[in-house]
Amino acid sequence: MQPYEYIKSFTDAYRNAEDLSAAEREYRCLAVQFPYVFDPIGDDDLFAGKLKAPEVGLWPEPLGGRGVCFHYDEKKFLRLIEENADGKGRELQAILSFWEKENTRKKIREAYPADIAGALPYDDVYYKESCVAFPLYRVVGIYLDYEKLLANGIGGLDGVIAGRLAKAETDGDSGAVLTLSFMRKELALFAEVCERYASQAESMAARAAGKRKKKWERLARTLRKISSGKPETLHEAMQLSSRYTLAAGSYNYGRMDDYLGGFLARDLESGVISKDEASEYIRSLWRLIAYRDSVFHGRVIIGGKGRRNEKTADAFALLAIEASKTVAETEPQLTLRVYEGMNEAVAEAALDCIALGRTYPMLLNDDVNIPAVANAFRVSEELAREYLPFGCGEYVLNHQSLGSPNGIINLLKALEVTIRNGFDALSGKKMGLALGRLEDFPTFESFYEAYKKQIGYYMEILARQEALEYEVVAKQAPFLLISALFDDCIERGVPVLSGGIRYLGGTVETYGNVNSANSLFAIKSLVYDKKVISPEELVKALDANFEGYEALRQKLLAAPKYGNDIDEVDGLAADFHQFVCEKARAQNEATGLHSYLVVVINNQANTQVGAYTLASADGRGAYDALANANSPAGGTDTQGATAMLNSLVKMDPSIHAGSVQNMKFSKTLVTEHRDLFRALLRTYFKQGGTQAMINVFNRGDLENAMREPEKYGNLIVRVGGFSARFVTLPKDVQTEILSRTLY
Amino acid sequence: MKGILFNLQRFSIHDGPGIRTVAFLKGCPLRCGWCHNPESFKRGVQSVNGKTFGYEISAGEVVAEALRDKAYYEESGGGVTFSGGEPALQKDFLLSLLTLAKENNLHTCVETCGFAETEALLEISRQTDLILFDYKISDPETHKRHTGQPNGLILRNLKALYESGSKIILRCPVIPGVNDHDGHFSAVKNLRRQYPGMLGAEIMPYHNMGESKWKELGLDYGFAGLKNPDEKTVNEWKEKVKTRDAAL
Ligand code: SF4
Repeated sequence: MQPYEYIKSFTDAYRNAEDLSAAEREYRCLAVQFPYVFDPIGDDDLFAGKLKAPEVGLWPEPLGGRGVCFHYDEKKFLRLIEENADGKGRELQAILSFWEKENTRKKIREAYPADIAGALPYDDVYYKESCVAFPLYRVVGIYLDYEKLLANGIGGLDGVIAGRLAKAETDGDSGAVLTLSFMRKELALFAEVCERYASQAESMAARAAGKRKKKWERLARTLRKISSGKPETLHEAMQLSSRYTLAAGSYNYGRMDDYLGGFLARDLESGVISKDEASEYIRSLWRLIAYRDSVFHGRVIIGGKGRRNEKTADAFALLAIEASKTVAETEPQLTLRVYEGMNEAVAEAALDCIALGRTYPMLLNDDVNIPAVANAFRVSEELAREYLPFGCGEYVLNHQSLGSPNGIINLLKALEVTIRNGFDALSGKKMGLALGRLEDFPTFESFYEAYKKQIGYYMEILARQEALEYEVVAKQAPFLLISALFDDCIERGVPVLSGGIRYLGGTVETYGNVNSANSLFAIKSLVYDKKVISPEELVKALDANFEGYEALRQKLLAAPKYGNDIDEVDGLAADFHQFVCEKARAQNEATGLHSYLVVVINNQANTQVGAYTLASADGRGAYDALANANSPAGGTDTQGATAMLNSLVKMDPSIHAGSVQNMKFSKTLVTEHRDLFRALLRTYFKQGGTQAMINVFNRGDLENAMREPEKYGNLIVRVGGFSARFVTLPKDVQTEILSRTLY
Repeated sequence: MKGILFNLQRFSIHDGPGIRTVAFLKGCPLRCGWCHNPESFKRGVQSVNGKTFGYEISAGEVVAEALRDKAYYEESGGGVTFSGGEPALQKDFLLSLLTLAKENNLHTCVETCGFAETEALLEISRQTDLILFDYKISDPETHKRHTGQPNGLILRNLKALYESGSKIILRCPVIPGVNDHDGHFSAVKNLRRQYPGMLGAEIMPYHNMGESKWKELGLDYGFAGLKNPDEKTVNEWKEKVKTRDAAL
């Protein structure tokens, strides 16, 4: 199908469903969308797994684009309109106007009450507008129940739903009948896609010879099989799980070692495949995940407590790490959950991969995170063992909870407007609560209280925005393929966002945490305690971006900074962290969300929102990047890696849904002093470290890459919660990464 | 008990085993031309062109700082190292540091240039787990030319420490054009044969990071422009001091 035809059909399907249920509309739209978006199997692919982003479509979050649920890609539309100057172009223009009104993001905005609309900008424009807080439009962090999928197969799953449907019919539960019957129909759509691919594979097999023929034949068999039957081999299980992920619109691949380990062990034992073949499968899947290019997503989780069979899972985990060594891509975001007593071979393989500079696997510490998640989410430790990070590092409970990060708050910007009595000097507009100017507060405590009030104001707005967003999205589409693999949805006969799951939560991304803490400390010690800077002078200097205030700036820079294991400043940082996290966590009741939690993650928003943040009291210049997540501000950690790590662990991990720690280590340390590097990480984890995302470079690599990018095309760096080729990053992001201390 | 440091460095991985904190005590009897810590020369706190070098600190404060990383030492087999300058120049301070460190179960190293009173060194070594003993130049005349003192006392002290049963690692700075010749490497080897109970000999390749500090202090750096040796050269040097029975 050509784009024009597709766009028309999809839009017609949507329009013609005006009087129908959301479930039926979703089904009809997907029936058009599926055949269009699934690309043919590539010659070198061992699995069917390619997908394109449609001009208009229905996903929880569109691939690569901004939007949620029913969404459209304006750029693609405009290009098509330009290419079709005739009647088609006019028609497309009309369709574009239709979607400008009908897209789900628009519907969410229209639902805002006055106070939300007044406090947040109209759009998710954190990268191009000056504001304290922003909404994000998406539903992300979907981890499907692969165990259930693989244990039942599509046919079996359909049987389970049919059984529940029969009961709903007897009970006269019309809502459940609707949900479950369209759930079955969508499963059938998925089966059709598999059949279509099987046909492609069969015709390819007919034309191929030798090894290629074998590959196409295997694919054809697998695809026929999984369209209804239960998968029995590793190949079938990998095909079914990855393909379903794409169809459902999820970007994460779950605890892969756990759900594939058994298949691997069985295949190896029965001699169906060799270890090398298994590795080849995994590498191919890795390439397909990378091909999807979802940047912040693509999580594959290995390791950790709570797996059904650690032995078989670890065997898969080892191959997964091996694949990440050879497939030098920025995805999948391979993540290893570590714990005391884990398989040493897996831990060592992980260090080997990290030492290669792959940035993977990222390490998460179960021993700290499980009790922390239990507390933060208010669930049992048993359940907390199912915590999984998605995106840039936010936790959810495997196929039981959602916690889409749908709001951003720039805490440093909040400080900026607070000291100016609710005024944004950059845009010249009123912003936030007007609580007085810095000089109006007689004590640091009274000022700190005002700042907290400001943050509380935005937190409440953001939490309500998130609940509202879910509500609107739920009315637009039930996401039945997702609901089928989320706990309780089938049993309840209710879709995922409408009360189908027990733990519908939300998260808020906080930025500028560390700059704010350092600024607070400087204000406390220099303005209030020692009185060496007057409040008026400070604000003037910040307004002037320190021009003419060089001596004052030096004093600010010389004030102790978080990241050096200095108790007084770290203590204030921890207190501030506590406040921000608890404030968010307290929003669950008013919003009806199961949880609403801070995530101290980072993509590149620290650089992007920094560009709209004036000079700050920590000595940071106007528009400079903010510190990355909970890590020290670039270059301010001068006391060595142990001091930096000691500072990190002072932040309570049990009140948020994840905090990422980016660290830069030299190649020499991780290779020539491996035992010390290992000891460093182990101790950090024992002391309470939650997570480590490790970059490994040679000294000078980044500088050289900025000078001669053509020679460093393969230099992969961890930006925040995602990895990227360094040379493809914008200059300001490169500079921020360079500024981080290399140990 | 207070003393004077010019630096307190955490997460050190080159000054003794494991992850360590190194306290650099100010004051040195030698004047090595390549020294990368020239701020250690003078014993007292100094002020040069508005910049202060060195600070007074109590033994308790130093050890408290070191204790912050105790968990890291325990995991890596590390501890605390007292270096300089020449730490023996602040003998009483050093002894109280060592006592306090021991009371807190920290593994201790002392790095010495060997140019100190023999009795003092012996007393220090009795309180220390491991001595890092610098051995710079084998020929006494050349030694004097480059460090300001001949090496007789240093060699006698090494012998005395060895005979007293101290655990010793020899630390050998190799400076291109000064001591990167076979004669010196054989002398190192000979020492290892002479004192087979020594735990090893480490090559400390020349590094030019001291150059800017000499300037800051208003001093003339005699090795201006000298390049750091490359990895291959360093590896060759390491080979040359290996002995059959005591590889490190
Ligand atoms: S003995 Fe060490 S500190 Fe003293 S001058 Fe020589 S190199 Fe510098």
